[in-house]
This record gives sequence, C-alpha cells and structure tokens, in this order.
Amino acid sequence: MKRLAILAILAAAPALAEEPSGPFFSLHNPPFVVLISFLVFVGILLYAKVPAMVGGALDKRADQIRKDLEEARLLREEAQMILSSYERKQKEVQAQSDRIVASAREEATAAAEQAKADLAASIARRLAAAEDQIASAETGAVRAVRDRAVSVAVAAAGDLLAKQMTKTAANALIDQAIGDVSARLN
Amino acid sequence: MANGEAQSGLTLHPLEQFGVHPLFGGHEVHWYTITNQTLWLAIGVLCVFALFVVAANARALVPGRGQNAAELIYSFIHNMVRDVTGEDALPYFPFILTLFLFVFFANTLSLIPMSFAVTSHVAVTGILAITVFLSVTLLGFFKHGTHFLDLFWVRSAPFPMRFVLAPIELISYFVRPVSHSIRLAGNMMAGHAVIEVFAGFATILVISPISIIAITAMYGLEVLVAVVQAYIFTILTCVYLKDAMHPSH
Repeated sequence: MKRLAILAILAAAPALAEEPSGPFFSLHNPPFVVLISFLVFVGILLYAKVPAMVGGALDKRADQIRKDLEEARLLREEAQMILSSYERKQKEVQAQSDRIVASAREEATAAAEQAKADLAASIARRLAAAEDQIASAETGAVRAVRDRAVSVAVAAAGDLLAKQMTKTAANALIDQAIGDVSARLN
Repeated sequence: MANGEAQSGLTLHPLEQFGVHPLFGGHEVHWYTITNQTLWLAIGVLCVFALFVVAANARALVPGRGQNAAELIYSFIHNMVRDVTGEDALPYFPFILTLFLFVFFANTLSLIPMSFAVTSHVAVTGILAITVFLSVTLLGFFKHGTHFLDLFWVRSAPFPMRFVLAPIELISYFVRPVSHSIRLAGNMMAGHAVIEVFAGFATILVISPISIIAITAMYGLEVLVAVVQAYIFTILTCVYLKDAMHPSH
C-alpha cells in the first residue's frame, strides 16, 4: 500500500513540481538532486537488506506469538489432562466414600438392631428379676403375716392360759416341768 | 522565483519547499482550497488507515506482517502511556496513539522527495500542541477542580520560595504548547532545509557528488529525526497529561 503510494508520487512527481524553472532532470534542479539522493538512500537500505531485516523481525515476532500460542495450547491440554485425572480420582474417591458410608450405615443398622435386641433381652431379664423379687417379697410378707398371726395366737393363748392358771396349777406345772427335765436329764 | 538565476549561479531557496500551493490551479488559498498540504495530510491519514484498518483488519491470532507492525506500534505507545502517565491514564490512550500515528506518518512521508512536510509548519504542530494543552488543562480542572492549581504552588519548597516559584511554574506551563509545537516543526523544517541547501550546492558540478552523498547521509539522520520527534511529541503529551492527572508535586 505504502509502496504503491510512493510509486504513484514518484510517477506524478514531474507534474507536481510547480513552475519548473528549467528541465527537471538537471543538477540545477534541487528536487531532482534530492530525488537522486533519496534513490541512493533507498538503494543502500535495500543493499543492506534492511527491509528483509524488518520483515524478518516482524516474522520472528509472529513466530514467537505462534510458539507462545502453541505452548499455551499444550499447557492447556496438560492442565485439562490433569483436571480429568483428578476428576476421575475424585469419582473413584466418591465411589469409595459412598461404599464406606453404605457399609457404615449397614453396620450402624446392625448395631442398632443388636442393641435393640440386647435391650429387649435385658428388659425381659430385669422384668423377670423384678417379678422374682415381687414374688419373694410376697412370700416374705405372707410369712411375716403368718408369723405375726402365730405369735399373736401364742400371745393370746398365753394370756388366756395365764388368766386361767392358778398358783397351784402353776406350781404343779413347774414341778411337772422340773420332773420332766430331771427325768429327761437322767 | 528562481527563474533564470538557477542556470547561472548558486542560488539557494531552502524554504521554497514549504510553500502551500493550490493543487488545482489558482493562486489564492482559501479555507476550502485543496492544496499540497491537504494532499499530504490526506496521504498521511490514508497510511494510518492502511496500517491500522486495512492491514490489521484480519485480527488474526497469529498476525501477518502488517498487523504485526500495527500491534508493535500499538503496544509501544500503550506501554509508554502506562509507564509515563500511569494506569489511570489509559482511557486517553486512543488520543495519544492517534497523535503519535499522525505525527509519525507526517514526518516519515515528508522524507519522500517533492513531498510536502506537513509537520514542518507550526500551523499544524501548533494546532496539535494547543489541542493537547487545552485538553490537558481542561482535564486537570475537570478532574481536580481548583486543586489543579497545586501544580503551580510547589508545596515541597519552603514557604517564601513558593511565591517565587509560582510565576515561574505558571510561565513554564504556558510556554509548553510553544515549545511542544516548535520543537517538532523546527526539527522537521531544519532537516528539510539542510537537504535543500545541499541540493542547491549540486549546481556546481564538482561538488554535486559530495552534495548527493551528504543528502544521502542526511536522509539517514532525517529518518531517525522523524521517528524520534514523533516519539518525543508523544511522550511530552504523556508527561503533560500526567501533570493533569496528578497535579500535586
């Protein structure tokens, strides 16, 4: 584009040089001298391969960008690979943890069942023990009542006997008892 | 002008090349007259268009040569704005890039023989510099209000010194657009004038080879000057913009 513009200007140059005071291609015409120098300068630039150097530098930059892009793409792929591996691992861990949770739940349920059963058994045992205690307490109470009835009866009988007993009868009884004892002891 | 004299002896008209002439006949230049300056301004704009719109149009991930060059210039100026002015000035980057591209292409295109050196006219660079000056000043007041005047009130100096420094700072601030524009125009004009003077010496046949070699050498220098002056114009704009963004010393 720029080169085209330059060419166009150069082609139109003689026409543009206003009010020419003489022939254009003359050393007396400063613009012509400048044009020669300009061409020499451009020639030196071309000879020194400056345009090629500039183009090379630009191409190098493009290559660098391409390389950077490629590198970025590789890095991205690598990162994606790592990500997917971690996702896989995470999935595995998830499954494992699911399994662990399931087994733990199972165990807990079993333990709960066991505990429930144990509890029922212990309740039954305690119930039985309590019943035993009640029964024994009942028999104890019955016995106590009976004992008390006997003692009351004995006391009553004693009272009755004491009331009916006379001195003589008592003495006779004592004597009889002594006789009993001596008869038994001998 | 040089009629007749040119044939006889050494006559130098190094400033003739800077004349503005109507392209399509007539001698008067009105505001609407299409002149050689109009033509070369347009060519400069077309070059920018060619590089940044046509060549970079593919927007390829791996750029071709044209897009590559455009990207290089773009990132160069982008880095310059960020480094010199700061991250917060990046909204003004398009303006600075436009300025650089215009000056750069105007400078380099003026090296073509018989072209017209657009940026050798203070009228052109002055408009650019005044645009920069006005927009930077307005931006400073818009962003910081009266705090922008801190730029002239050097708080880091001892108190009595500030009264001395304030007028100096003020004068140097208002001289900015002058130096900004004359630096560019002067450099461009001087180079072209020197080349033209050397070309005038070529009238003497013995000297003409030396003259041509000298102009060729001048061309090498002028390529450098064209690029460096575009760079300087842009970086100064960045520096001025920095003052507007952060006016306190």
